[in-house]
Amino acid sequence: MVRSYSLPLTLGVVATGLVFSYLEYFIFLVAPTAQLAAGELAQKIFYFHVPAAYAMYLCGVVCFIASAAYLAGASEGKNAWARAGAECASLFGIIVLMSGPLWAKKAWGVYWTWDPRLTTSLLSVLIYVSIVVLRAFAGDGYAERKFAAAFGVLGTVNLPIIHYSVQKWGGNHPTVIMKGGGGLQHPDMKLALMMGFVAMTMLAALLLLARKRLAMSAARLAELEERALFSGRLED
Amino acid sequence: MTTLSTFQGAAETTEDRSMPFEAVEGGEETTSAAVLLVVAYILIWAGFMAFVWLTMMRQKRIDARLDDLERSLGQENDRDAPA
Repeated sequence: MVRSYSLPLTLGVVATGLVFSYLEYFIFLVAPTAQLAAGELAQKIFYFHVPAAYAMYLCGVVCFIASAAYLAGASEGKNAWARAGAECASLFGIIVLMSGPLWAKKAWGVYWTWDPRLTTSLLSVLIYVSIVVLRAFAGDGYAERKFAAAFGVLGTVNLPIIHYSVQKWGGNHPTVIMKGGGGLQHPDMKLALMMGFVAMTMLAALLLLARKRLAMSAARLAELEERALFSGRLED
Repeated sequence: MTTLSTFQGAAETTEDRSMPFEAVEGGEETTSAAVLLVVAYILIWAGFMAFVWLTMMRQKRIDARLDDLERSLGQENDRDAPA
């Protein structure tokens, strides 16, 4: 049997590819360069860095909702969404932590500083990575799933802390697009950021769907292997 | 053009190579913004591509295994079914 991808998913992949292609063109060739204090040319990292952080929040929320739902009543689908949410949040979080220091090197003169937002972001990424590692290496039993779901709920509590850390505790991170921020002073800068948000939302949705499908297939495989084992068709 | 002989000549004595380290305030940022930008985008895309590739490879492996098992268990059910 050939397991094919559905037409909406294929169209989604094509649309996301087109949006990202235009975004890259717009960032590199249309959006203006910012002042030296903002990192000059390196400020263009912002158009991927901030949407990636937003995508991490989005995937974190998916992980939170699915984990809470799993704790309320376990099902294969809820577990798959919780797993996909943690995996995608880890990916976007790692992207944020990789791109941010490269921009910071130009804007602040250092790759890393224990700024409140950087520290809380690192904490969140470590939480999501630990959920992924737990699910990968501690087995896929009911207890492990429940523990991962509880971790997924608790881990998401940190997301609002990241968001408000700049206002509460200051630090090096600039407030640009939030309340009281300096704002993007050129319309093309605003447009690039908006496109970044759209593109990253589409990518996050596709990756979540793909990872959820993978988790469901893995669960189905484990179930069939167990059946085959009982029927003597599979060696232990 | 710097040749081997001029280079060797310039570093003939230890005094010639002596250089005091002086404390400065702040210093100057010399890292190229363009290099940082390109490295950032290469890392971002490498990360996404690796994730997508690993997902696809794992899905393919699981699908192939599922097909084998479903075929195998399906044949067993056919055999066990009453005529």
